[in-house]
Amino acid sequence: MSITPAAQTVLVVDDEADIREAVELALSMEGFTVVGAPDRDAALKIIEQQKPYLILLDFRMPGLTAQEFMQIIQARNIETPIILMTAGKDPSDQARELKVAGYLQKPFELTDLLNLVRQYTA
Amino acid sequence: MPLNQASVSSPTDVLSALQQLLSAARQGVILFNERGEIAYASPLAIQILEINEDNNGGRISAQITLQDGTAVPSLGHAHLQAPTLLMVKRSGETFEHIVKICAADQDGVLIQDVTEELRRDGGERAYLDIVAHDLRAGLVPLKTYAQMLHTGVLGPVTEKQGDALRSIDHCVERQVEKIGSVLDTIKAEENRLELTREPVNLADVIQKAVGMCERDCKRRNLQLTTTVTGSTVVDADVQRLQRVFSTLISRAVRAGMQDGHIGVELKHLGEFIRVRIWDNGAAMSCEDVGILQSSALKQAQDRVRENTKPNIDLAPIHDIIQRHGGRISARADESGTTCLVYLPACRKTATEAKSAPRRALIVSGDTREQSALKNSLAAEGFQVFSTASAADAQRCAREHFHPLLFISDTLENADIWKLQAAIREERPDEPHAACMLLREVEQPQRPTSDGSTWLLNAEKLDSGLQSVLPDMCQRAQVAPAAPSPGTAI
Repeated sequence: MSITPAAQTVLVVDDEADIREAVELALSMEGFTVVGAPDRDAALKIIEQQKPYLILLDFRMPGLTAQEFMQIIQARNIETPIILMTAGKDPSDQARELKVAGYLQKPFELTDLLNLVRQYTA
Repeated sequence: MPLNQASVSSPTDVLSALQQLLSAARQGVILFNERGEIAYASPLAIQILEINEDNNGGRISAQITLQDGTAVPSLGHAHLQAPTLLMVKRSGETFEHIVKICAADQDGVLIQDVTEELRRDGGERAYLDIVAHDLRAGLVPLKTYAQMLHTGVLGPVTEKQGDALRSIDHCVERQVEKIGSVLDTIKAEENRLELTREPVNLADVIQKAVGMCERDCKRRNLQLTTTVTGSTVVDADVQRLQRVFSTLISRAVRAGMQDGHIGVELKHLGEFIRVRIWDNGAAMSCEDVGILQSSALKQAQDRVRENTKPNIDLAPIHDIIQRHGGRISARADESGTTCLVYLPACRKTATEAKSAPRRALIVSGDTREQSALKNSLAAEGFQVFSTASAADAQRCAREHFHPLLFISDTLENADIWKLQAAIREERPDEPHAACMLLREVEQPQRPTSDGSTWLLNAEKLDSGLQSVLPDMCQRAQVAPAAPSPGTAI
């Protein structure tokens, strides 16, 4: 059975409200159901309750590194694919180290964002 | 083992310490014994005959000659221009100094201890990384909203609004390039500019750079022509070259007179690809010509002190081109400006190089290890040949299999390097092989100065393999399994 984009929830985790909202709007205009989380606790709550298809994760947030977030996810046996959003140097190294599904280097192209999300929700 | 605890009490220890120091310093290393005599000098091929420490300002003066007794060598001089790690052992304790030459004449050189300066810079660098991160991240909403509006998903867009949105997008691109230029200028000054190279068609890079300037050209009615002659594939860091040529072409556009002309010409000339960018607009200033033709941070800083605005985009260009094995020159007069960039031509086409077969040869007496390795490499898309016999491996490697990766716990280091060198000599047109040797090491190490060999612990093979494989593939010029932005890995 194929799943329509509307049924596919994408979680956007970023402490910067402007970035989070821009990504949320871009994805919702494409028909995805998008929920945003500004921090770890909110993100984990959404993951438990709404079981998103995909997580877009900011690499660096106050009080939480992507590594720590990945450890928590792994400890809870959550297998949702994660795409790293990073403005840091060497994003491919960061992505490889964290063993995430993919990465987007900030500031990314709108088409790159949409293509990557479609790839994991198709 | 921490660098400052490297023991040099036996020849074996010296080698092991050097392996760590060389990989950490990426430059020359000089070890001293307790009497202040040289215990080891790395490929710098220099000797320090006399060391006089001056407590005033932490300076060390030293006489340097070549090992054959000739005067201060340009080679050694060039190597020491970059910060060089110096281990001084006094009264049984090893002290770590980072030094560089601050003056040189026929009698010798004056070496300055820059350890503290660099430690301080380390903090500044971390701060700079965070600033760059925040500047780039802050551009996400701008870019995303501008592109969304432009697609019309948020409502119809008039032609003028479309132009304005394209302009915002364009400014964001420029801003990202400026951030990259500032970081690269600092990295180049610290000799930390590392390229991520792959075969790339230079004509595509130029085309993209030209595309970014088309609107400005139209606005000012400038004619921009591009000509390409011959194959223009180079082994290059695409992002950095993109930035270099965008900067040079957009400078020409900014300098262009109304109805003026800008030309970009790519030509394959023997071993090099030449890119000629010329315009008949306002001449580039002497200072900017100087910045293009030398390492430029100091010149840029001097211009700030003189209250003249340096062109930050130009600052890292010389070093980026030089790192690619190329060169750049510029000439400016009343008729306009011409920049010439030479980059080494790549022997293979981008497609050929990317489709090089991935072959790995495992030489191991441990069948369990062989099988684990085979599975891991097969999952990475490698064709694998495994054997327990060194003789078999040598014959197979030279006669028909030609591996890109050697992996062995059986062959001695020297034997495998000899084999690697023989294959490179016999097949110069094929990608270079890399070696992974399974030895009792805590962390993966790279013991050779050309960086083509990795030492891994067989007990920690899974994690070790994952951490070094992308680098190994890159070293062997195999299409890397590493992801590119916007793609899944």
